[in-house]
Amino acid sequence: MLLEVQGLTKFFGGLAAVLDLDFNVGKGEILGIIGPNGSGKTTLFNLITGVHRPTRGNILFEGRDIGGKPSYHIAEAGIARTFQLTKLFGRVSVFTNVLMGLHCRTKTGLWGALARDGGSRWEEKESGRKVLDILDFTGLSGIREKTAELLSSEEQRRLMIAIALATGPKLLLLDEPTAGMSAEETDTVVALMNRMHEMGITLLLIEHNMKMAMSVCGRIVALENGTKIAEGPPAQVSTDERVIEAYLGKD
Amino acid sequence: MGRKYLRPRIWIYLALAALLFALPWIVTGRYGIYLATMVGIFVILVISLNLVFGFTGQISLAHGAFYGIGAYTCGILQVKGILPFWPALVVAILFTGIIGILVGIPMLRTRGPYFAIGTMCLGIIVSLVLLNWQSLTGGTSLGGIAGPGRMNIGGWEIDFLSSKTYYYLVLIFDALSLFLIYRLIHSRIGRALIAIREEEELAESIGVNPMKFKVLSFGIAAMFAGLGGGLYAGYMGAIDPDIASVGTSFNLLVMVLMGGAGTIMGSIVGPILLWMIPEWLQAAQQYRPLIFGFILLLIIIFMPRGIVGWVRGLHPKISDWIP
Repeated sequence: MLLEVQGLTKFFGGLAAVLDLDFNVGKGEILGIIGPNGSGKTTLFNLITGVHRPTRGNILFEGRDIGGKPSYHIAEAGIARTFQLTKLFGRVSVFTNVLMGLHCRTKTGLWGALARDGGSRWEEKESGRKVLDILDFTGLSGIREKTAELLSSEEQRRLMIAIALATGPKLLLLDEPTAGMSAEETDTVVALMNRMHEMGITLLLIEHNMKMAMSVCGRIVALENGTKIAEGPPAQVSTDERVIEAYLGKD
Repeated sequence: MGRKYLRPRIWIYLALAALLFALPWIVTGRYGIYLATMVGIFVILVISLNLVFGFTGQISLAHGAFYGIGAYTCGILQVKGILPFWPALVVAILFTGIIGILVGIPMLRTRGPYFAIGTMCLGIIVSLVLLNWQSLTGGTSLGGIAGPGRMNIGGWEIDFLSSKTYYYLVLIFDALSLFLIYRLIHSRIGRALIAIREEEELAESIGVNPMKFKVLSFGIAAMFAGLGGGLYAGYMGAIDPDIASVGTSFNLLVMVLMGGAGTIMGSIVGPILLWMIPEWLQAAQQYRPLIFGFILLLIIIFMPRGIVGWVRGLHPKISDWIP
């Protein structure tokens, strides 16, 4: 198993945002997390990526407990994420945004930066090459000199994925990557997700849109009020009574 | 950023360097050279404050305090006869850097306005200590700082007591400071700092340890402030606690904003403007502060990214020319 979540619980004050949650993510999977607003999906992401510390329970990544570790350690371990509300390095170029994403895979220190010795020059060159590859892969090559804050919101979402890719993740967490997009834009992002999957990256996807989740994910975990109400292949979860109830409410 | 863009930049640097080199012949009299030297010392302070404020995004009001710590460390070591100027300057740089790191570790846990207020309190504490620890600091004023005096390099006598020579000494340190901070900014470390400034949560999610890099930026900036302070002490021969005041920190912050936060060139333009505008307004006599304030207000309103930020925004090509 790549990721094992065991008895994960997070209380905010007296309120349980996530309660006794268990699920696994296998290597090479596309696992969808669905659930109505406030069901604890984003809190779950924040727990896995170290933004929040779990109240109790374990998060094992490649067998090692990462629960409560700082975000930058988790990035180094190989988990990257995107944010539901777009976060970018707004006033720098697309190219530099992705270059920043290489931080944890490069190691030029203070001396290398000031002296620009052979090692740091080589690393800088290599980094530039990697960034160009990632920009090609995400279809952002044509706008690499543009300032990030001036991009369209769909381009910004793809840039956010490109930054995450630069960290060299084994597991990529995508928080509603197509929210508010047109059908065409959604197709672009879905195609990108499929290509990342082919590259061998395991994807964990939060999706509000059931139809989209059904079409992309191999397996789905449905949450309500921070607990798992269903798990299985899309066809099974979409017909699950509790899931339908959670989405549509009781008649 | 490709290498092809660097060409026009080099010409701008050379033109600027030539101008600064010729300055003692352009400005006349001791006062003119005094102003040029003070601008030079303030360039070191402003480029280093820019590292913290302009590039890392942390509004520090402690920079004047570090300037004062550097000046007093360098001054006291000489007055007490412990070390001559040059080693005292090195100790001042290192000591100020260590204080910066020690203070930065708890302070940088706070954010935004809280960090600004915290660092301002540090400034007040340092001024009070300098004023009241009389046995060490001489109270209201510490005089008799020998400075670098004369130096003999391979039979070539350099007399730093000549104000022109001291100006060139400061100029060399300016070039060195600008060069080092330019390199730092255009490296993996500089990108981590800018990432923290732009979006700290995203920076952390891609593997940047914000605390580590904030403390690094704060500590390096403190070292440069220590250098500026030491040079000031060596130049003036007498210092007073006022240099460490929050007023100095505010002035430095205004210089960063006027020149352009997050630009290298703005760190040169800012100090020049804030030292020179009052001089140019001599004719206005008692209305000088009023007109000065009005000019600053206009710059803030119409050029929120500072003068260099504004010029860079005129045309995309220009921002490649001006760092």
